[in-house]
Amino acid sequence: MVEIEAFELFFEFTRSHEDWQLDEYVSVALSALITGVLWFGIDAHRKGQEIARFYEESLKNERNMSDARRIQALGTLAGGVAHSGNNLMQPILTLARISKSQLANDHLVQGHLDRIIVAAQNAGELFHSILKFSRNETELSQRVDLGGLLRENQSLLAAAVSSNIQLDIEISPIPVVAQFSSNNLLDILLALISNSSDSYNGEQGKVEVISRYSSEWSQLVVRDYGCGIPEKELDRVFEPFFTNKDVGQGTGLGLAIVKSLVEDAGGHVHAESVIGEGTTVTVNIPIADDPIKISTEQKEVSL
Amino acid sequence: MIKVLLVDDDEMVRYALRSAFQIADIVVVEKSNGSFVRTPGILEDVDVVVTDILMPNVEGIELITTLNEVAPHIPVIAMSGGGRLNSQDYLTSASDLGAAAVFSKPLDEVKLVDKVRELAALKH
Repeated sequence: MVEIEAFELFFEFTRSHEDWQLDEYVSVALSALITGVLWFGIDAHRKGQEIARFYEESLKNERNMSDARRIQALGTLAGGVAHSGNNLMQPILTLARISKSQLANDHLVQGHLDRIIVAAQNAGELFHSILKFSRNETELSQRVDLGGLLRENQSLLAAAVSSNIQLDIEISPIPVVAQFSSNNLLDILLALISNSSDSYNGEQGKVEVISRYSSEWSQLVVRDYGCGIPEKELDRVFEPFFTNKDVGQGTGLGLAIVKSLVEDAGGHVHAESVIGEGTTVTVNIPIADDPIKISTEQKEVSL
Repeated sequence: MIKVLLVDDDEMVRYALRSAFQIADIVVVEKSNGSFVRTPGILEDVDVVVTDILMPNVEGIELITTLNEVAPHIPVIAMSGGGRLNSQDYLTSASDLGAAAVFSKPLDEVKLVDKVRELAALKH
C-alpha cells in the first residue's frame, strides 16, 4: 500500500501540473544521481581490485625476497661447510691410505681401511656438489637494485674509506636493477672504494660512487681524484697479483676478482686514469630481464 | 735429502701430509700461517714450499707473492679446499701468480710427493 501511495504521489506531481521546467530539473538531478552512484560503485570496485592486486604483488615480492635471502644464506653456509669438509677429508684419506701401505696386504684391517677411504671419497664428492650449488644457485641467478644496495650499506661503505676521505654516493632516481649477486656486488664496491681511498696516500680527498643506467647496462662508477695510475700500468691493474701497494697492504687480487666476477656475469669493467688527476672505474653489468624480483639483501652469514 | 716447508692452519692436515712426506724420506718444516716469510734463515735449504691458500693472518696468496720476491728460486705448491670463492678461482690465481703446481683438497698425497720430488729435482 505504501508503494502505491508513493507512486500516486509521484504521478500526481509529474502529471497534474504544467511546470515542465521543474520536471526537467528533477529528471536531470535524478539521472545525475544515478550516474554518480553507478560511477562511484564501478570506481570503488576497480580501486578495490587494484589495492588487492598491489597487496598480493608485494606479498609475493616479499616471499620471493625472503626465499632469495634464505637461499643466499644457505649458499654461504654451504660454501663454508664444503671448505671445512674438504679440509677435514684430507687427514682421513691420507692417513687411511698411509696406514694401508704400512700394513701387510693380507692384514685384517685392510678391508676396514678400504671402506674408510670409499666413505671419505663419497663425502668429498658430496662437498664438491654442495660447493657447486652454493655458487650456481645463489650467485649466478640473482637480481640486485644498485641504488638499494648502496643505500642499505652506506655505513659499511663509509667504514671502508679512511677517515680523511669523504664518500659521495649518487643514486639514480629510478631503480637500477642488475642481474648479479648482491654479495658479490658489495665485495666489488668495497674493493673499488678502498682502492680509491688508498689513492690519496693519506691526504684529504673524495670518493664518488654513482649508480645509473647506461645504454644497455646497469652501471656502477667509482671515481677518485687521487694520485692516478700510469698509462702503462692501467692495462695491468686487473691482472691477478698486480699491485703497487707494499707487501702486507694488499694481495693484488682485488681487481682481478672484480674483473672475473663481473665477466662471469656477462659484464665488463674498465678503468680510466690521469696521473695526478684521479681514476674512474666503470662496472657494466647486464640489466635484469625481469626487474620485479629484486634482491638487495646483505651478507647474513659469514664464515 | 729434500726439505719441504709445509704451511697450513689445520693441524690435522699438517699431521697427515707430514706423515706422507716422512714416509717418502722428505724432511718437513711446518708453519700454521705465512707470517714467517720474512724471518731470516727460515727459508734456508728449503727445496719446495707447500701452502694452503685460505689462512688467517698472512694468506697463501700473499705468501706466494712475497716468496716470489724474497726467494724466487723456491718453487711453491698451492692447495685449497674451496670456500669464499670457488677453490678453482684461487688456484687459478695462484697458478697465474707463479705457483709451480696447484692441488684441490682433498688431494692425493702420492701425487703431491711426486710433484715435490719433481720440483726439487728441477731445482738442483
